[in-house]
Amino acid sequence: MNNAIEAKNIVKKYKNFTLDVPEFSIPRGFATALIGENGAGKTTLLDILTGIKLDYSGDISYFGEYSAANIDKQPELKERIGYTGTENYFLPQWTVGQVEELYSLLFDGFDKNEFRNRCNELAIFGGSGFDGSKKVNALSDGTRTKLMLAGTLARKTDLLIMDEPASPLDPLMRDKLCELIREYLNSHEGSSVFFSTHNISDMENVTDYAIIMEHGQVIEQGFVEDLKEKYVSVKGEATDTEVARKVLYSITTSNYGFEGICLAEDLDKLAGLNITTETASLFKISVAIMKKNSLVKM
Amino acid sequence: MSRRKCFEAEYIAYAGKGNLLIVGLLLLGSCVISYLLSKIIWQLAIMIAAIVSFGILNFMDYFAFAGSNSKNSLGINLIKSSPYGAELFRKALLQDMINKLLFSVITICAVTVFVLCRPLGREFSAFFVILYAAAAFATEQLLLNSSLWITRKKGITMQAHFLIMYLTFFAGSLLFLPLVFISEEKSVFVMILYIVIVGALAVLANIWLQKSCNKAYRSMFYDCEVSK
Repeated sequence: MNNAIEAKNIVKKYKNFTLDVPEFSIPRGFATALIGENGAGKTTLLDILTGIKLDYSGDISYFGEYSAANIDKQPELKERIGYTGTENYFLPQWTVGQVEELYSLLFDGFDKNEFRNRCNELAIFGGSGFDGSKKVNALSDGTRTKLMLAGTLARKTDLLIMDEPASPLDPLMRDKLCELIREYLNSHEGSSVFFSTHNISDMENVTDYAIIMEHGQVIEQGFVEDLKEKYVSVKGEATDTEVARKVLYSITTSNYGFEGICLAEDLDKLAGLNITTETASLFKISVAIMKKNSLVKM
Repeated sequence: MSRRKCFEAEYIAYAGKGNLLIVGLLLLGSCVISYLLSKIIWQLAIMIAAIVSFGILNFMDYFAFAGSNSKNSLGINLIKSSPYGAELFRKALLQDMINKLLFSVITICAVTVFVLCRPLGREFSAFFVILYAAAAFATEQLLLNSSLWITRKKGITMQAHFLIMYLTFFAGSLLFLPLVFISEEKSVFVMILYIVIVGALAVLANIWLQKSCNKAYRSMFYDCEVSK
């Protein structure tokens, strides 16, 4: 398969945490979600892939033709990657006009008209037109995220890497974000999106491929359809809870019964129990997998 | 990235109109105060002008690259994600060093012109005062940049930065106290020799600091070890 990114043996060590990813890939032409709880290593991995963090070991290749070695000396590669982050992205004293100017100086493929159109489309200035004198520190977190999106979408890129793009956004804007991602994927052949989230339910309808992380390691990855075949949602009666607990990845119980996620291949272990199965959502699958591997006491 | 683009990006990203306005106001203020004081004690006016100029220089230095606040602002992900981020950063660091050296030279020249334009300016003692200011400045630059070379990894606070600056200036001033006990001609010879030697060392320290900062800030820029 043609992949936007292929990575092998990525290791980055911190004092109390180690990112250790033996192998993963981001398929080209799809939207990939990186799911993990807080502190799982999502931002670290995204920063490494974007070329913002260079102190790591491992091999990364982009679009089948670039290597991450000396990424800061390959301007054509960074031109093809658009990045939005969570914080430390703009200086607070910058104005929107200065942000626009910096984008045009820092990236060759930046289109000022497109930037202004995006700003209006995302209602960054409310109902009024483009206001270049507005300071970044006068914008809310959500509006700042919209500004990042406007700047990144105004560039000609082949891969969007977005760190928690939905977190600061309201529900309406999250829906708009999904629309923008679909639009980007359809804009030209081979365009790909890779975003991180700790709450996939908002972005599930736009996710094609999922990578689930837990304390620095990738614990599951695959196309969403394949994951939904691999894992099933199981519901049963309260009397069977203890038997089911040994098989299910995660289980929630009530006086009336239990509900949980298990591998489809383990369903035969629940033979004889009065259960119903249904297709699980990506949200439920990811929570179940994270619960199984989490250090958090559940 | 073209030089013009880099300069523009650096100005927008790091300098800004606010900082230039502060520098301009401080310079103007020092000129006004020096002129007014020169009516009373003109040698003192020169020294105040020199001290305030040093303050401006180090103010620029702090907000550009030396201080802990700037350390946070330098790691802006928008710039890091750009193909020209590292290049912009290197050129901004070099531009900062050139700005400081140019400002130093212009200050000394302005002080000299100011002194020479006064009726008493052509007296021998006026020349000695200028040499004194230049020698103290060279000492301060050498000691300050050497200390910054040692402490730059820690990202010292603004207060510590100014403390080091004033301590090095006063240390430099005290070095010349013995000169009052020897003849003026010998004092001038010693001062000129001192300025040439220490000035050269200060320029070398500035270049070494720039290279060291370049390496250190690249490591901070990309969150990797200094050795890389």
